Amino acid sequence: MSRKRIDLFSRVLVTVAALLTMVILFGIFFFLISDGVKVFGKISLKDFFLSTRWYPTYEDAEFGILALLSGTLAVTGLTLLISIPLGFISAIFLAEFSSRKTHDFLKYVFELTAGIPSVVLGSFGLKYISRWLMELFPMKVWTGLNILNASLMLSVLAMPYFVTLIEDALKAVPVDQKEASLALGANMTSTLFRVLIPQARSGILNAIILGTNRIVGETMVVLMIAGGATMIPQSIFDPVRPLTAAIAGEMGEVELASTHYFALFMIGVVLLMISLIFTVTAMRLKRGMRR
Amino acid sequence: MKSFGIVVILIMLVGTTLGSTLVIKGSNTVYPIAQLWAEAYKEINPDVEISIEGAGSSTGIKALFNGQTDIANSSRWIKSSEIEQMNQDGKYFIPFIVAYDGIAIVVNKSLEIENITVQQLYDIYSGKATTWNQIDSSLPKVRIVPLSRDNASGTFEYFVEHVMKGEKLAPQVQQLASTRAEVEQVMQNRYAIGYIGMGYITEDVKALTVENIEPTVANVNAGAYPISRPLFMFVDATDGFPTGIIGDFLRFVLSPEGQSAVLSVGYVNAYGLK
Repeated sequence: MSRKRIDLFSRVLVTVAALLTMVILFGIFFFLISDGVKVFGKISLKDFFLSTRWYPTYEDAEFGILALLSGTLAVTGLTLLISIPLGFISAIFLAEFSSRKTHDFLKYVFELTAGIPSVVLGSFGLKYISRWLMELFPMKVWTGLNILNASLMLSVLAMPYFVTLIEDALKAVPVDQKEASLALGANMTSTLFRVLIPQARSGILNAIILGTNRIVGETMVVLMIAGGATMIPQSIFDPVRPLTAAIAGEMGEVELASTHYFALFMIGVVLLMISLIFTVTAMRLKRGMRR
Repeated sequence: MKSFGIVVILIMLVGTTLGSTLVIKGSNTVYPIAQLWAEAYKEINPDVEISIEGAGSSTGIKALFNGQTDIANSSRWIKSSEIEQMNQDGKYFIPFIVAYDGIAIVVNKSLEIENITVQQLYDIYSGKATTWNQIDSSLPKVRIVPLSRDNASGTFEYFVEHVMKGEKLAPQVQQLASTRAEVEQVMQNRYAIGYIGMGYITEDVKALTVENIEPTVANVNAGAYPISRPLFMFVDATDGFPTGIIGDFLRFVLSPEGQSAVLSVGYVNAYGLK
């Protein structure tokens, strides 16, 4: 084969692979949406998005997802509140303040943490965290399976993402910038906040996007320990049933092509939208930062 | 589900080439115990192939009408419309009670309550009673934590139908993904209450009497325990009492060995054992 042919061959191969990924992605979008929108033939947009009543299996069934949606948002929000600061501090420590040995050891620990299957975290939350929460706050916690429990376990899942990616972002800042700052007499703290973090913000934002999408989509943990109550939470000790838990809990027994079935697909579309809106917003922000 | 369907087809294909095949369809509630029986039966009769499908009681009986199944599992008695159709088609289906589905009401061992009525259960799960002193004035004024199974579970369906009379559960009722999780929560939470299949009662929780009747095998068999129901297998006996592999399988199901397997999936045996 001539060189040109080899070149052509590999170019075709790469293009086909890229196209295939796109086809698969849009195929999933298409099927999800085309099944999902059928639910609006049976119930109105208003009843679907603005009602809190999710009673899909009764004779006079109701398909309002507002309570489920609020569950997803509550769990995701609290998880971010816990895991971003912790992840951020750990990443700064790893990138700038740790010795080689501690660095390697901690990095190893985080990698191990990233490998914990979510069902194991769920079981842990079910058996231990739930009990501890009730013992720690006996007045406030009326059920051990609640937003806080799920958020704690989800933080364990999300932390390695934040730590690893934020550390990479900090490390990617050119060394001469850091050294220039230090040479000008700035101490490490102001170098960190005035030079390193501003320079790394695009990478940090990227870490937050990836981590958040991971949290929103996580299913097993919330199915097992978020509490499963279809109510709008008033506190972090209330139980909720996030969108993913509803899909996972109900898809197995749902009658094909029923309103319930289409409603579950529409929930899938809603999840997709949440992650899309989030990603696009973050990308906009990133572009704004570069200017 | 798709892979499951492929497995079923494969099993049926293998069955047609090797030996006799038994097809079982119907109730999702009966499905887990039917699966256990099929496995045990196959161990004794290795060349028999059994395909089981959980698709709902009505689907099972429909399949019996058009000859697509040998045995129809059902968690309910036959409907009058189905009896009419039997008359029209000149068919005769006979029922076997193969097990009972009894629901136990469990609370934490430290909660000082021994009995509950169906009306009180209704009040708790519909949100009309929210603190324990509303159930019994000697109990503390603490929030009741009602636990339920996912709405995909057969136990949930039965509970809603017979205790709630079709009415919806209150929003704060927690739907848990497994019976194990329910038991775990009742063990941990002094003020939780849950309903579980009777076979899942453990030493770690307290099973209440319902309308002063204990959730025992004897009481369920006698039809005295209020929240229990028989589970059926229907077979076509138009051409005579089931013989061959169908009859043999039913004999195994009703044998002491078959019946002793029932408790392990949370149900109550219909015959023989205490």
